[in-house]
Amino acid sequence: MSVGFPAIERPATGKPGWLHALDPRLKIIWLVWVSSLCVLVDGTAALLTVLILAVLPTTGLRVSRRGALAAAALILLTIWSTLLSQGMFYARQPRTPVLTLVPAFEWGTLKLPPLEIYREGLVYGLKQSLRLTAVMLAGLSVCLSTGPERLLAALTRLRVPVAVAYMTVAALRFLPTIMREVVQVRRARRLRTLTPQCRSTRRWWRRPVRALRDEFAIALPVLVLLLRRAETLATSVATRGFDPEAKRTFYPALRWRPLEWTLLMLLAVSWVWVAAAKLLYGLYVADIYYAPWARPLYDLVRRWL
Amino acid sequence: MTSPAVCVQRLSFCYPGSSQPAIRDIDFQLQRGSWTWIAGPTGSGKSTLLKALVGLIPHQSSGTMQGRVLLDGRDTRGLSPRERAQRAVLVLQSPDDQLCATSIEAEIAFGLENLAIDPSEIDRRIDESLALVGLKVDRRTPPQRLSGGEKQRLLLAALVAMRPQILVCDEPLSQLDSWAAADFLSLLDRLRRDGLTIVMAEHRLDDVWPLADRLLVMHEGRIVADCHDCDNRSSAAALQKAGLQLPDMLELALAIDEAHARTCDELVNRIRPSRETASSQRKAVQSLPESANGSATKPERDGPTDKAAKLLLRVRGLAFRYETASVVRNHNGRNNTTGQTDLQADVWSDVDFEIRAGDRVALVGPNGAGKSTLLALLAGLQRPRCGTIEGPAAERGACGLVVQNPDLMLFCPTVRDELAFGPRHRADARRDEIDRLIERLAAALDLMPFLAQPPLALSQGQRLRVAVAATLSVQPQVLLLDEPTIGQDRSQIDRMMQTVEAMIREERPPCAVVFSTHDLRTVARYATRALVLANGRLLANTTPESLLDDGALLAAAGLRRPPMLELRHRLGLQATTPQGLVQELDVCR
Repeated sequence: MSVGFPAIERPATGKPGWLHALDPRLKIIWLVWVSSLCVLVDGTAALLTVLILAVLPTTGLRVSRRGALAAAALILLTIWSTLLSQGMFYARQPRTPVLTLVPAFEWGTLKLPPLEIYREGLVYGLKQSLRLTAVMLAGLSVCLSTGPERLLAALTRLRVPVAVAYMTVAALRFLPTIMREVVQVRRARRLRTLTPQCRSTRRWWRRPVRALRDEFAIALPVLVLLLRRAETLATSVATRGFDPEAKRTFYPALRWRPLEWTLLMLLAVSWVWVAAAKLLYGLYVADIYYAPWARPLYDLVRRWL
Repeated sequence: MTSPAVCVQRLSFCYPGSSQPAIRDIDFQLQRGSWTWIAGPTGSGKSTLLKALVGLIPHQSSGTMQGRVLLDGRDTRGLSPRERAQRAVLVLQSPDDQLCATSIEAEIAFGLENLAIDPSEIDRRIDESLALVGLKVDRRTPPQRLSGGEKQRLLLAALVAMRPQILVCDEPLSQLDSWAAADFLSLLDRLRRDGLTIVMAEHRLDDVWPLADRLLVMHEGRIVADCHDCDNRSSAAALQKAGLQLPDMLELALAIDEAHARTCDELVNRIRPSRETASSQRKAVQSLPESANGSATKPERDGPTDKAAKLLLRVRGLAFRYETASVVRNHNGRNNTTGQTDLQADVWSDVDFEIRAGDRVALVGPNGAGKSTLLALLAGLQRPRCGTIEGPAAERGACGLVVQNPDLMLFCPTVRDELAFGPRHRADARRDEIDRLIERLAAALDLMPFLAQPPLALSQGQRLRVAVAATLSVQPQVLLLDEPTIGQDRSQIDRMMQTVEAMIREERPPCAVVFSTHDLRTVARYATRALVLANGRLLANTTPESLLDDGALLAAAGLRRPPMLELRHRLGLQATTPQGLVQELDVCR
């Protein structure tokens, strides 16, 4: 089940893309940069720019065509469903209907309002989906291009407590295993009901409660197997001297290269600039502080950010 | 005299919530460079003792510990994880679950990083430890691509790179095939000669017994026997004291009144002179096909089948190939070693055989030969590329498959529910009939006391029996067992195979059994026929006896005779049990 996590399960297969070679600390900082900008900015164009910046690094992933298509389909589905749901159920005023799906309905005393799609809702939905997609892509890019050990090294260097960092990394490492075991247990369950006399397991609608109960029953062996696995891993790690309190080294040692320094500086400067601009604009809007020299900046934030 | 590597003083440990201590009043010392075998029945406290030896108890467990364990003269209670890891490390059963990194070098580096060793030194030690365990692969290879034996070697490399003084092993061979186990043990023996102290609990008695220089037998949390440099009689007495089965070779050695010989070579040398008079018989037997190149494909290897028995399955011209990379995986949850698999080629082709009522067929072959795939096809889980599977058992669900990891098949709250799960999906199922079936299966597989218990809380052997009983509950005509011997101790294997054998003999479902295995002892004792799957085809369909005597075929199948069967072969004997061999030797004398 390596489709979703090729780099985690098989980082050294084939030629790794340029993103794999980047310092994992830079990748994590970039993920934080994308996530925080998605919260800071509110303009559609600015959010679209953040999304484009989040998409660009995926070119360095070298995912299969099938994987890329699956990801694209998932993103389009996310955008479509967010647009539609926000467009239909936008409750704030003012709102401008652009399309009536079901006209108003009146039958006796029963009066139903029309089901419409609102322009403001569509814009709001577009912004939300851009935020969601950008963060999702950035997170996937980091996960797919960084092996657990490098991720652990990076998180630790970024002052994340070792225990938390290791748990995060171990969870990522075993995600494919969990997915695989769910498939295996489902298959084993199917095996147990395959007899010439058995009713087809596909006819679940005849006894939906039992079918549902059987589906939930899959969770039990998966959970038990995972607990056993976790216990074994914990024992193995403990016997190999893992101590969240102690200082450890990392192999290979993480070292910033000039290009990575430059990228880091760019990220830092751009983030500080956007945050400062938004802060100044917020102070102005709240009538707390007004600086005449910052009028072009206010204008820029109002229009774009 | 040097100080002992390990000193255990009046050690007792009680798990939280338990009124009885898991281990009690344990006292012993281990000298440097010694190999200690800890034997004992399931639940006797072996694993608890091993955890205490590496300091996981009390540091990683909240129970109550009394007494102390000294590693290199220092109490484990006062040692940090780093200091403990520099003294004693632990190898567990499943290498898959112990490996935590995505490349070989990262796996070895993990422990060294924890010891805060400089990266340049780590780099040197990675090369050193890989050379030491003989693992010649690219350092960036993902561990998932290695075979089971290689993974265990990698784990050993990761541990020895930390330069511990004591290596503690808790059933490290249980997931390995015979070759991988032999390689692993010879590697440990080499490390022991270099000064490493080894403590091992292991069910594969015949493999460990010749190497150990000390035997500690545990029973109900206590050490009931402690044999130093012991002879065969005292070892046997110690094992019998805890109600344990004796290793085959030990049983044989005792039967011929041999006090010290342990290995196959030693016993052959001891027995051979007295066998001179039976030379003609031996010659006759040794003239059995020990064949050269290509003989493995001769059609005369087709084993005898009772043609009068009812035909259950006829397989003709079967071929299989994987469609995409994502399905290149065993149905039992383990990855095949498919890193090098050519997805465009058949896994195997031109497979022809028949299964008739009463057959007990062993399916053997090297790792990745496609044994599990063939069983999945017989069970109707996969479709062949070409060829046919015909006969009454080819009907949907007429073959019941027990996968390699039985835990994957257990998902009901109690054993009773588990056994009732299949039958209650039948259209014509009646409650009283289901109850009778459950009682019958539970009695046959010795599960009556556990009917109300959660299956996943049972021991490994019991869980396998529940999975077998659950599969039999839908009354398949052919029972398919995928590697039923892995992770099981010998008594559990015998118990399960004898039950299945008896059911087949009594003509109750199943009518036949097909089991894949690497364990030649099980093939020799329980199979009536052996199918050898290797090099992309069915190399032979033969009798177990012919397989055991054919070195070339065994090599092609990736099999290795266990010591007793090796002795049988070298002396030209026929029996496959220690008792049988002794009888045969007596007759020959």
